[in-house]
Amino acid sequence: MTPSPANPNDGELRQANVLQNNYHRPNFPWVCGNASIGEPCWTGPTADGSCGCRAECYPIARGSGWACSRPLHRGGTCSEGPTKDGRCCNERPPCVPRRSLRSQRQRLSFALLSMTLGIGLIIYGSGRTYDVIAPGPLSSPHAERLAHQGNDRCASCHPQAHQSLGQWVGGMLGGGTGEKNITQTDLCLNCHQRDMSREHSRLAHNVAPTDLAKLSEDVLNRSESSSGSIRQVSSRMVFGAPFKNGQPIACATCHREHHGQAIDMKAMTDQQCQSCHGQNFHSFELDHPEFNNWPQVAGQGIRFDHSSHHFKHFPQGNRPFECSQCHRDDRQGNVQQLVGFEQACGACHQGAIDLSIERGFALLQLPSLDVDALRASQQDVGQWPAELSRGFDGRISPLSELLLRADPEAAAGLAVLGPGFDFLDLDTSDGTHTLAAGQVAWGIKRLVADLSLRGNEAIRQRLQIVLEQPIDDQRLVRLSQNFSMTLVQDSAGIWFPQLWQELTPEQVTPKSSMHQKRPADQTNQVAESARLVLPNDILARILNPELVMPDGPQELLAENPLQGAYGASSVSNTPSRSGAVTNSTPAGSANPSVSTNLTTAAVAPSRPETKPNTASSSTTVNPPQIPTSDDPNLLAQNPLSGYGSGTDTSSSVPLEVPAEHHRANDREIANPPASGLPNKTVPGATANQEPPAQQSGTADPSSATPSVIGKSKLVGWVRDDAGFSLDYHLQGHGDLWMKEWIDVLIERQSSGAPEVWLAYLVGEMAAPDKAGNCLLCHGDRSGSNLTASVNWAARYRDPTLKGWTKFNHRPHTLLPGLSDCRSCHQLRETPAGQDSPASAVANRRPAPTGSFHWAGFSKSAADGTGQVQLAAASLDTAVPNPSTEQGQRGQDGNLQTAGHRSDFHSLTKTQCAACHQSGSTRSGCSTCHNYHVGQRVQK
Amino acid sequence: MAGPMIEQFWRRRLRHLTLFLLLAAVGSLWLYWQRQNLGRTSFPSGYMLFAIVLTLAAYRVRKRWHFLRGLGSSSAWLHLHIYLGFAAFGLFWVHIGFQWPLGTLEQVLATVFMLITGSGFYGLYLTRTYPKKLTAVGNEVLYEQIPIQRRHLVRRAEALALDGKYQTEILIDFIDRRLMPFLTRGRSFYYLLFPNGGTRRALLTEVENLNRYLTSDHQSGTVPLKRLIQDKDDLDFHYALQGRLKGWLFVHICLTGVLIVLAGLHTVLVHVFQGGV
Repeated sequence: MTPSPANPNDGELRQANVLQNNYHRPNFPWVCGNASIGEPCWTGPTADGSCGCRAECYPIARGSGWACSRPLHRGGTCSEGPTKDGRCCNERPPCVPRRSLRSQRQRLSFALLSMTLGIGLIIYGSGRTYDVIAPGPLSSPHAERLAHQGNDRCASCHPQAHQSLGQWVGGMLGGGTGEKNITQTDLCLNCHQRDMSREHSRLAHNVAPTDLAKLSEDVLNRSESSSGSIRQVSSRMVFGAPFKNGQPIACATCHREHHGQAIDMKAMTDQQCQSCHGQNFHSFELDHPEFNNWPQVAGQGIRFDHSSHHFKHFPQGNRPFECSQCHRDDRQGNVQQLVGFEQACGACHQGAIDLSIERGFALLQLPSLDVDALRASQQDVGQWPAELSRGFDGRISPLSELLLRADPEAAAGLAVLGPGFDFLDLDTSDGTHTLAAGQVAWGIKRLVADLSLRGNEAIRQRLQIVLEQPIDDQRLVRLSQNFSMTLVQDSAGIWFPQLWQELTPEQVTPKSSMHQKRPADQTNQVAESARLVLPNDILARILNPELVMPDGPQELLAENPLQGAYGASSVSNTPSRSGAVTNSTPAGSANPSVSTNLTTAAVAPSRPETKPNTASSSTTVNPPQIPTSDDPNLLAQNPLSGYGSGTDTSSSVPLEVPAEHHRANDREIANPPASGLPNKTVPGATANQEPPAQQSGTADPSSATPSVIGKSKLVGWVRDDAGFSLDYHLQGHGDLWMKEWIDVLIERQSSGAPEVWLAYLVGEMAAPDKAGNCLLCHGDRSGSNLTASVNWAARYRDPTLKGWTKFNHRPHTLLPGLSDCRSCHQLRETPAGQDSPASAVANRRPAPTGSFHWAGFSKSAADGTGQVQLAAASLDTAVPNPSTEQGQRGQDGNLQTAGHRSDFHSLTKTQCAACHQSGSTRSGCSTCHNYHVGQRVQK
Repeated sequence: MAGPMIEQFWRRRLRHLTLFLLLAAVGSLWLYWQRQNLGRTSFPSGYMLFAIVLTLAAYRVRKRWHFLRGLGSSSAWLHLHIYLGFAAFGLFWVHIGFQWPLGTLEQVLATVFMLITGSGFYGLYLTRTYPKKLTAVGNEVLYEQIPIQRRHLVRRAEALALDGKYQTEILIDFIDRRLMPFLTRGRSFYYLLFPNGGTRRALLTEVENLNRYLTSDHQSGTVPLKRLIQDKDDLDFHYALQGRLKGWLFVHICLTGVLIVLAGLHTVLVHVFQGGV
């Protein structure tokens, strides 16, 4: 509208105001009801909202009458005057006052407020409070997880959800909510307990502050510019230091919920990363530091020289070297999986391994002693095999030495002689030497007796004593691999026929606090073992199956079914080391407890007496005889004669020994034992015929090379009577028995034990040039024979371990230009003459002292808590140790630490920045870096 | 005299604006620092916002209770109210992260806040533009006296009709048929929304057309009629514009209580259910 110009009648409107002469009070709650028609009364409504102008005046009592009180501006007193009853003569109908605008606003405010509170109370009472107060929908993973929890779903993440409104207000005002001990992060970890440990969950990067400080210092030291940007420096000047190391960070600091179902709660912005990091990066392509040896050491567990295989070995074999021969895509198309040994390496390396393990590992190995010389030195070793009594010679096997160290007397002897002592070097003129030799000899006999008495339990107890660490049942199974007490019992019967005349059970069992703390069931197992009367549990099954106790660790018999079969004659004149004389112990039972515990078995022999074995001139024990067919209760022939426990070679079942085994044991054939026993007993081929279960995850039986494994080959426990040893023959690559023994020794060594003998044992068992060649490939990368760790997996990467960097091959290999692995992973060419020895292979690996891997977090072997620790082993990105970095960078900028030579050229940032640029492919911090690092907690 | 006053006005405005921008910059920098350090900007911004809302609401208390005049003049409070209103609007968007909330309570709260803020901006616009328009009309009329003015115009029209000078059938018929309804009735809702001079122009045209049927003596009688039409249209214009000046307060003030209650509840809830610990 167009406003009209100055109205000439303005004066009339003003005059109208004056004429009305009404003074308006907008703050009054009521206005006259006639105001809307332009005729308000002059008095206005009363305070209670009723009409205040029902008459022209309110007459005043004056004397006996009434007087008009109309004011002058309303015309003064009227001529008629008030009525006789004191009413105004000019009354008029009352109006209906209206509320003023201010009053209307107040009423509306009150109404809206009341309505809001009313709706709030209705909602509060309806049980749908959480639907209303929820700040937004949950993300899909959480929504699915909490979908069926109803109103309790809030309490899954919010400790105070179950409280009342009053408690909420009181808690906010500091009155305490009673739930302060439980934080939201605690509730997060109730579900995410596998992702990280509670202890480190609130720490930056889940790393201990000291470790993080060390990493930060290291990164800053190698940074070209350690100062922050002007922006951040100015911010710090104004507001102080940023987030401090060690300051707890809650999950919700970064992971914000209630932002909708489609929100990616794991998404991190660069700004969040750079809130703590001193050096700000504006973009990957511009100012991200150059890579340091990435990813040259990532993920490789075994010592495998790509260069020598690519440039030398495969061309020599006229075979193509293809990455896909070993590296396979997983289900997601990521290059993660490695094929097994048999498929990748077996064709070339299986033969060498088989050759190295052909002899087997001796658990027991008797040395040759000059018994007469020892006896002359007042060291009577008692009965010793005649074949091994003509002079000092031979060594004690490493495993025997390990088990002997649980025997204090034998350990003392070994301490004098030293680890790996060759009895050929024994100085008979030295009393300490002869004393030690005697102690060791008796220790061996006690070991044999202990093994024959308690079997696996003896191994467990002795290892616990020596290694000072518990051996659980699963580990014991792997360490023993179907080890049969019967085998040792037979050996004891043959090697030391008078063993149980010389020793008592109490003497052969080493004492240890760890053993005494064994659970009752295992202690009972030992006790039950002590009551064994059988020389061979298999035969017992055959003869008296009804007597076999089904629930024991080994079947126990109520009585010895072979009582007498092994010869019931006792030796009464054999001096026992303890001075005790046992009169009723059957030698063949190999269990002296028979005489003490099962006397009924001793007095009720069911086998005919057998004659002493004349061939064994040095023993007074009658070896077991083959039962005759006259006894209808027995088999016509001893089915276990092939075990070597029989005396009649003519009646023993000829055991079909593989040809190569004969070749490997020609000395045994050429020198048959005088006892007339089979020259080679191979219980492993019968009783232990079952080879150990497939143990290595990489050794797939289906992919094994049939010509190498499982064909005409001794596997398992083998007793060598000619060599007086009890050997374990490896099944080949991936043998769990070998792995477990190496592990148990190296664990002990890595725990800080400084013993020389332990280093010797580790060297004997685990050195790359020893049988099995295990650590040629599986040793740590130090290249030392005395390795500090073993990498059994071909790929070192632990799926439960998250490092600082991540990489997904899948989207990269889809690109045509990157489909060939070698487009990024370019091999160095190995200099000639450095690839064949194992040391050369090892020397190409980074030495732990020459590199510090900031990405390397690993769980210590003994730490089952999932605690993250810094370790020298690398996971993905190597950061140079500042002390060794100077002057060791190559022209390409790669780290060239001492002894370090990677197979591959390092990737450069330029390669990645070709695609990962701002505005094109993602190039944020979280594209390649993880925030949460370390070990996932395994439950 | 007007020159120094205008200069003083601009100086004051410049001073207040500078102070406002300075405080806003410091607050923004502080929030930015919080954000840079993994802080939760929603908490400090929320507290600041709640404090500003309470201060804005206190303006009404200051106006109502005169014993609080020691806290500053109402004019100063109005200035503070305006500047804080702008600050609250910016802080609100920072507080919600420039994303409209998804929760029911937060949506209601944000809607109420936006209604109050929007009505405030609208009221600021009205109070800065409508007085000029009303001044241009020429009459100073109190909103509450408009009915009285309207009644006075009706009486003037009745007096004209009874005046013998205008005792012609044509004029009386026009007064009775066209003028009196215009004077006694209110204007349409459309006019209240979009005040315009269409009706006035139409009536004035009709009055002009009456001259063709009037004698020269009676033609002078149309002049007061034209004045009545113009006065009534000016009154209606006042009524429409002043009605708006009164009406926006119904939104701006009446929702303030609701906003404070909801904001208080929101504060309690976010403290009880806050993450980050």
